[in-house]
Amino acid sequence: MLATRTFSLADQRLFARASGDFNPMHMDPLAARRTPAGAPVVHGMHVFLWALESLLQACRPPTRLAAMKATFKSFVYLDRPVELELVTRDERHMKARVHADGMPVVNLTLQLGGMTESAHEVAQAAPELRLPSTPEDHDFESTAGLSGWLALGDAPAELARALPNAIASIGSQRVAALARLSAIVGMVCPGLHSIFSEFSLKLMHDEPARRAIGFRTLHADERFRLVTMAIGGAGFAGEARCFVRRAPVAPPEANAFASLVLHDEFAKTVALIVGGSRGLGAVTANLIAAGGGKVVITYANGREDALGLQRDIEAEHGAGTCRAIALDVQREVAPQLRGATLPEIDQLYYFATPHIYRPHAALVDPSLFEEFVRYYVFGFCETVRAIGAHSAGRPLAILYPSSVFVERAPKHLTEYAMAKSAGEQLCKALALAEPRLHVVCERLPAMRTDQTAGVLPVEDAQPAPIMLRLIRSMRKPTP
Amino acid sequence: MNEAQVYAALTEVFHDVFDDETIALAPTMTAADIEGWDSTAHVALIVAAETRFGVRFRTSEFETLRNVGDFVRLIATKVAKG
Repeated sequence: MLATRTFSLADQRLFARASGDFNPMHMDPLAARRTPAGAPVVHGMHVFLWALESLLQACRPPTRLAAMKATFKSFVYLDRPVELELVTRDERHMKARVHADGMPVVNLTLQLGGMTESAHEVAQAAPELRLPSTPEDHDFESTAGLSGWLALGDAPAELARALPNAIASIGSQRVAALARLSAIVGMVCPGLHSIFSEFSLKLMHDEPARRAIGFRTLHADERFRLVTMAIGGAGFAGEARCFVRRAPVAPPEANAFASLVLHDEFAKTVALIVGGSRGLGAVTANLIAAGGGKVVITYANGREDALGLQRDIEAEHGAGTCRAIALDVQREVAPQLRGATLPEIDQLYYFATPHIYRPHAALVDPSLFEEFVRYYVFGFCETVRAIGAHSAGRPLAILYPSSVFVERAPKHLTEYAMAKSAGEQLCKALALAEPRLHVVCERLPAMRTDQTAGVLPVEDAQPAPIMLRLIRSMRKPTP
Repeated sequence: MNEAQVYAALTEVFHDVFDDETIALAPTMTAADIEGWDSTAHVALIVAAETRFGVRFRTSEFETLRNVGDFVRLIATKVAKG
């Protein structure tokens, strides 16, 4: 390996200041968890600039670049090491890859030699844009007509100090332009819901008088939600491509569930919904409340989501119908629940989960498996015991949502399937050990949630009918 | 353009998309046979093939492709239709 690096939150903030790319996917853990990444990810261009610097530093004598191309293949997460590998080098090219968890995350090709007389396709008359303080939220369709110029920023001294070889090779203006390209994608076009896919840029001879980088949308391909832009200015000409991911799944509105349930069919239900602030948990809370029941929803990180859901349900169904409490199943559960002074619970729904889809090279990643087991086995077991102790011998119905992936684990979901399978075994053991427990364990299909809302259309089931059937199956606890 | 010519041109597309000039296409090859052929690479492959051959695929057409051989036949048919 040519170089290794771990990007920290401090690095992230530095690059955001330098580039102007403050897209919440990079900066805000709560917003990022509603994206396919599930957690804040490093700016692709930041990884590229580090790799460029490392390649130029390692491959002396100093190299003149004619063109550069990068493909961002997968997300790079904070605080996880990445490795730079030089794949090939000859007199015309350098090819390199950045790996994370053994998987290629960025492919780079540097074309060596003199610059060419390239022309770019961004009209000089395109509007001068001000860098927005928050990302533009364009509809996919509206990206088709976008163009403009963004003035280059002054890179913070720390970033300039970190890139001496890149600056020596291509000049500080082009380095600033590459950083600004991140802001074009993340803040302007497509903006909020962007995922940078690739860029290919030729270096141009002329240093333009205009200290800005421009863009113009060439195609907006609705089949893939893929935007192709011409990039020009600041000594570059070329193209950039980015996906426009679908907006996060909107939280269900409380008044949308009344027509699905019978009046007061859950009137005697008091449910604890672990992981109830969003996704399937929020759907379950809404259904029970719409049927006249009361719900306590828990959150580990999404306090605002949970309080928002509490407000919505109480506004629709009355004060006291929903209460949000903090619960982190990775910590000891019983003391947290004791501190929450719960009402008498007769149903437990367990949706606690970390981010699920995390590509990796290993057939089985032990640390990932352990993390899933903490959630789906030990966290579940502790929660059942804590609620069991709290309910003092009364019947308790429990829903454990397993997954169809137990039967057919897709690539990179082996650990998830293994942990869910272990959870199923625990359900059987719980039902045998305590006759008062009515344990419902079902392998659920993939349903449209933040965890599955990606770029491409996927087949997914509607959550409400499935969850309603399961809630109804919970009403006959074993005496 | 016959299928052999499509194979030759499509091989160049694969080399470019996967950044790997050792790839040799065969009719029965699938995504499982080429490192890095994930959903993102699949999109890049479709878009690059459209540019190279001057055709456009409908979503229903590329969703039913089983292997490289299917892809080549689809391209040859599209090119023949102009």
